[in-house]
Amino acid sequence: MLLFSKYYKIVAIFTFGLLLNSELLASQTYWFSDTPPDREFAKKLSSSHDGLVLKSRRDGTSKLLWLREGEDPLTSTYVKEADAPLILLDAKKNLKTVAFKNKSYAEAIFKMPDEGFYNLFMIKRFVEDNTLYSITAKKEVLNHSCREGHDNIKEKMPPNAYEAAPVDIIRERMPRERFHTHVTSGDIVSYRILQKGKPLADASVTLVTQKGWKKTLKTDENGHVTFEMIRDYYPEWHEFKRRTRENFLVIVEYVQAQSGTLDDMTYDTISYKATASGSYYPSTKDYQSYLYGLLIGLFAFFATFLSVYLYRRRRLNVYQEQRLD
Amino acid sequence: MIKNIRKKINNGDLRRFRFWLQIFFFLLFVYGGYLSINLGQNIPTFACGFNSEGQGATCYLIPLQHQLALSSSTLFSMAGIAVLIGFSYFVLWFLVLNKGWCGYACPLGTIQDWITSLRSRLGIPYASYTWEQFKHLKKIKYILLVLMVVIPMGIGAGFFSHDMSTPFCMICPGRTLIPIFTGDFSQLTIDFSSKTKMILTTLGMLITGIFLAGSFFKKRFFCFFCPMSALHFMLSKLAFLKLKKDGSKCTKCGDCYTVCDMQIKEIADDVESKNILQDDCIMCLKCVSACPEEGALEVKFMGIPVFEATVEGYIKRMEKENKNG
Repeated sequence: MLLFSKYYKIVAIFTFGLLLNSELLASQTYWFSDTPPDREFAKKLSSSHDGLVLKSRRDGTSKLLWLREGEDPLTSTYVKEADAPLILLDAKKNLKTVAFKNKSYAEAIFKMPDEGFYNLFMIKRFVEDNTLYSITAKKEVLNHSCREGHDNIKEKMPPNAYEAAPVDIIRERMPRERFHTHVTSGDIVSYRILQKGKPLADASVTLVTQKGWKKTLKTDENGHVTFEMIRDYYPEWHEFKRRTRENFLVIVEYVQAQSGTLDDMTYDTISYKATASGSYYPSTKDYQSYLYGLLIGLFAFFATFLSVYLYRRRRLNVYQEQRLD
Repeated sequence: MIKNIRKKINNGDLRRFRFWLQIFFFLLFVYGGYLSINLGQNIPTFACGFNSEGQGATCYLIPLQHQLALSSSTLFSMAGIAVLIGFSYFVLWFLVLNKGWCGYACPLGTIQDWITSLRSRLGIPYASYTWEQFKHLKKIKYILLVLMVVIPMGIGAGFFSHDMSTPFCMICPGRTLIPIFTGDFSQLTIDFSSKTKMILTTLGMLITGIFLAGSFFKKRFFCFFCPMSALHFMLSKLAFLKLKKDGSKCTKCGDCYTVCDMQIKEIADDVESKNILQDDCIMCLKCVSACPEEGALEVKFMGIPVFEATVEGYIKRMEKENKNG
């Protein structure tokens, strides 16, 4: 049966054109990734505090995102073509429309002139088998450069919600979170799920890490859900890289009995599926040691203290010639 | 009226004034962030940026090192103007207080003064350098200043790893100690994620240990090695606040040298120079307050005398000192 379902999926993908046409499938999971599909293209991009960005003298900093399909962040395929509407909630909370550029893959590009968080939403709704499918893919991107300073960061930290979104996944900020803070293994990450700006209770929320670990929880009456980011990076010590950036995916699914009409097609159920992707790094606890730090600090402190004490003690000794007398 | 104010200032208790002003600046720079105070990132003193929660301003050395680490093509393009603008703001701040930033505003200097005060209360005698030691040690700050410029530029040119970014901050005791005042102990660790990080954080903790013990015995121990002090001295001729000496009134009694935390010999010996400020001077103005000769030492702000040595002031301060034991 399992084999059959896998086979069915492969056939379905080929039937619909390898990496899909512009039509999105209700059964699939779509999400935004800032990892370029092409390694050569990645070399043209610059690294920033939140993934790769495109920098040019004319346009400043721009972000490129690619639409991917699949629940596994590591193996999800890049969608070749998409025409769903895109909405950008920029750092100043203004709404703008953005269009997919279907070059080799469906990619979205937007400029980030201001410092702060940008949120890109892909919202697609269609009726199939008397069900209204509402698909939302969201990506929150930070634009920050240390060169421009660190003024008024606290004001720019709170997440921005898009009230018109069918489902909005909002990552709540961690204590003491600033622009330089990354989600790391072992961190507690909290989400607030909103439906048209109001908390969505009892929705199923799944977190999938890059290595495929997943956990599903239900939102409480305030739309809250909390996960502990697991540690899944265990390289040999000489291969350890603290800047290893892995993707994770948050998938919200919720079915609601509600009748209505969309494009002259009636439905009696609404099936919501929303995604938000993020990234996480190894925990500082994996490579930073208080014990060694304090031991070295204390050693230096006492060694200096002892040196001064011995130096002073030596100076108190009477001179050799006096002792002879 | 003005004569009376001037008399009051000249007869005033500089030690108490300095104590409270240091407290004020310490609170401003270390806890100001909690009150949403932000004086920017071009402050010419150690308002440590690693104290992310409470910082009311940021030490200029952080953005300077970040900016110098830009790729050479960026640094020497139009983007380099931002570096010059940052430097201009730094100069403007500096012009107001000259090296008074060290004596009155520097949180790390204040910590050293508190440690000195503790030693004094314990009745342990202070240490001083020989003239030979002094001559050699004072060169270290210029070496550190050159390294602080060369290493980030080497990073930008691709010669050094990005793990060496902000090299001076990595060895500065301000990074390890100032965040402790807001409950952040995270800088007391050794970072094992790369050899460079490990060496730099180990050096940082060694210097922290030496700093704590060193400043217990030697007044303003770290200020001899401070590259910010070297940078200040290069600009000190432009500053509004000036320390002046009238050699014809000086009797070379040596009181000014005795009270000088920085062991500056020229303050007593040099009867030729009008502008007596030396590179190690922290402009604490203890020399002016200890001078018994009318008008021999004088502090001027934009040419206007603000504090000068007077016989009456000297006697009043001595009487107070004797009364307090």
